[in-house]
Amino acid sequence: MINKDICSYSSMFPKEYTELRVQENRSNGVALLNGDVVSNGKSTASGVSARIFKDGHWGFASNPNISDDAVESVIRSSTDNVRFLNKRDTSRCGIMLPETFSNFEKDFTSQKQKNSQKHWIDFLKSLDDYIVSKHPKITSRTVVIRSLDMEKSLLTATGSTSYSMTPRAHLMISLSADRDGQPVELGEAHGGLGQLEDNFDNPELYFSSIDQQVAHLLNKVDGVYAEAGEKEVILDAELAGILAHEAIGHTTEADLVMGGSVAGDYMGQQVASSLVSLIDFANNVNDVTCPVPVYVDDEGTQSEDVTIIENGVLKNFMHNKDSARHFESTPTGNARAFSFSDEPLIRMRNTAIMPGNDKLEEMISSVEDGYYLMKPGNGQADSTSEFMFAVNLGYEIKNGKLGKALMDTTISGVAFDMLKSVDMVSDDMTWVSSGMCGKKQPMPVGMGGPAIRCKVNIGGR
Amino acid sequence: MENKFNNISDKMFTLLKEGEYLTLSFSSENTQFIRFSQSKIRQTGLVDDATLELELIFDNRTCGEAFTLSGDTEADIQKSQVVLDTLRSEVVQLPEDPYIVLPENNGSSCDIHAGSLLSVEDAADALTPAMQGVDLAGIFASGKIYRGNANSLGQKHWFSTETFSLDYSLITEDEKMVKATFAGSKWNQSEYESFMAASIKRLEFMKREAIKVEPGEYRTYIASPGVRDILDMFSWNGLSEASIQQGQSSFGRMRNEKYNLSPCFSLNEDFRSGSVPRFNDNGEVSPDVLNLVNSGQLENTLINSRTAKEYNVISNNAGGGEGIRAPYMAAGELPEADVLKKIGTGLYLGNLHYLNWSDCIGGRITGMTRYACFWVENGEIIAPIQNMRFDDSFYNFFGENLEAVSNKVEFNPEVGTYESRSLGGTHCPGVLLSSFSLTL
Repeated sequence: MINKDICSYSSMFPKEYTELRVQENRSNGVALLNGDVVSNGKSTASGVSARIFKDGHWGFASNPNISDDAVESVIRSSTDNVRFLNKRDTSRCGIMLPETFSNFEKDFTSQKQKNSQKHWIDFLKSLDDYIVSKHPKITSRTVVIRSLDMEKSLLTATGSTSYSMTPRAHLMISLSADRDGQPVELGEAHGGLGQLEDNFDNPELYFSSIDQQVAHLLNKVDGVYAEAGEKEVILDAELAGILAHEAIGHTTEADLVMGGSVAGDYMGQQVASSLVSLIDFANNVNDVTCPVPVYVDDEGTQSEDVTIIENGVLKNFMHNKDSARHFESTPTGNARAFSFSDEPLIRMRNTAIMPGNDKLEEMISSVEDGYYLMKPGNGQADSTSEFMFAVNLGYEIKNGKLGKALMDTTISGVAFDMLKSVDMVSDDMTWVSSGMCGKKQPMPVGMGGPAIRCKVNIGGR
Repeated sequence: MENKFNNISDKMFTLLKEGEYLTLSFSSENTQFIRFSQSKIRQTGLVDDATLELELIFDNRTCGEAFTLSGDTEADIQKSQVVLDTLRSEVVQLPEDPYIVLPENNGSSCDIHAGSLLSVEDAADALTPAMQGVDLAGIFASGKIYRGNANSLGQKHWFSTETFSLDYSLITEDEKMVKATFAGSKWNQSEYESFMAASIKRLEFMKREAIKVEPGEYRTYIASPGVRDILDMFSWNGLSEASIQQGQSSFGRMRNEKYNLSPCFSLNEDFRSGSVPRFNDNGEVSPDVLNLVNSGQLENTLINSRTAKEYNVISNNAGGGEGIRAPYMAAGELPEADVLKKIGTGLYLGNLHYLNWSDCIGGRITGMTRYACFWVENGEIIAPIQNMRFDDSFYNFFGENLEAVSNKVEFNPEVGTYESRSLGGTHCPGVLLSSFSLTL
């Protein structure tokens, strides 16, 4: 638990624009492999950092000690850093950041009594015992529970203050079955915003989900390889969500636009089918809290939703203060740092394609020869919007009906091209938040949306 | 820093009760970061960070906790005692671990690699002049990294190194890029300037109009940074013994079906450069050199103590995930200067990107060509190529299609900053392939 109120440190601020952040990340993880505890550990990373801006340059310093001396030290070091740069380079003299002001406090700490590690091991064992007793064809089981609490206090020279405790907790179940002596795997994640005590109560609640997971896995054991080439596919919400985040979202982070991302040339242009609207939500959708709610970012800016694509037209980039100044726009509250020793970067919060009007069943029945792709595996995308993702669960669609399951495959392409081929969007919305986004720092993010029908390159055997 | 770690660990070991084993792992960095955009410094930063992890074993049960050290030794000892008490209360509630690895005392080590780094004050002036006239975006990191490990049986290991890296992209007006990393432990200004000049020269080629290459098989040279990306894949369902035992490894065919790679291909784990500690999280020390693939034949896999116990094999003290911590691919005989001539007509791939297993068991890897990748005709670079996807098995491209290996092993450093600055990197040469498969 860190101090919620750090306003008293404002007296240490120099005349330059200053941000002071005190942060503690607490994580916990327990893993069972085939019933044995193979990992059981907690960690805490805490400290203080200061960032100072003057004449177009930033100075940054961090210290793992949370004390008055450490605060003084990081402010002094970051001030020295920025003054040093100002002396060397006067070409940016006079550049000012847009001023933002926000005071906000949001604490998602569970009101329930904290459970012991034994409780969570017993919880996992209940799930593992169920898999063993109910599903004898499963050859390997990994059951993991994991949590991360991010607690931050922020003070800026413009008077913004914020305190947040944003937790997330997930349960991951990975199962294997045998196919001709080789393992075939399928994973499933549960959970989201909240601490372990909020998100996981009765293990029996997950039994039906495990049954479904096993059914898909056994279908996969009897699965076929996808036929390589450009295919008509239904990308289910998880895949569409990760694609929206990785292949489109990152290209519209203004720091990457400044670094040459392909989206820089597309502002105001039709970059996707008119059925596609893509939004980075700050903290809620229709009054429902998002998986990773951000109310005030790590520069003290109130977080706003960013409509990136509206009816297929690229409308906005995501900004921090510096990029907003550069693009003569408004800071959007996307500046986020993972750890106390990380500087804030422009990061997504909860990125989703907006639902359309189609029913998933109708979308599937509309495909004569294609694939229904459900679960992503590893993958990447970059500032060209080129992407490649593994697909760990999918089915053939033949004459509008689901056929055989697919062995693991990949999809690839250029996201802005692919989104132009979207011609159906389902009317539902699903969030996924178990992964970490990577951009020099890890970061919890939410991604989601509906299923979409589109054309994409699929890897084959 | 070492004294701080010793003070904390010595104190903590005196607090143990009968039957308790305690292992302490220490990780710390003291780093200067400089961020560049358009060849100008946009931000400088200093990061001091230290983490201590306690792992308590009692009655064949284990649990652990890590926390950030404050730098105040007395306060850190107090915090460590609180954590130890918490672990004590938890460990008795846990089930026994059938494959638990109890700590041992197999001796201690102290491995200090002093560098010669730019001072914080001098870094900006040393770095910026050579990059003028081009658009450079990148990050410079320089400083000390420490690792320590000690257990209650008296074993103690210490590792420290001083390194720097400038990881950057040079960007043309139409946003084609050359990506490179200048890294080491001893700063040499003239080497840096030559390295940067070579990158700038390569950027000139990128200004030519890119050629679209059709999918197909091409005679190809993959430069050292691209080979590094491929070798990285071998730490993921690759040379791990557990992965092989569980039937998930791409090297299963070499073990079970006696497949061999080309006699030109040899890969070791080699700690002699000192870029990473030889000890793992348990404080077990790996051999200086472990032959993994020797002249195309699988000689060893990476085996940690837990895998050894579970599958009744002998440990070679690999790390927890049985990844390759110090990969070193042996040089061949192809002179760097002859590479273009030897390609004749085909592809020069400077970097690969986005690698993933497309068929792990079959050894097939997919990914993209990226950055400095060129079409070569009659031994001369003609133009950059548009980005292409490749999809090929290492049983092909490190097998019968591996025609030659360059005679220069380059160090490709890890430049990741996820949670802390990464250690180590990959030593490897480039490879000339008689055929490499581009798909889409």
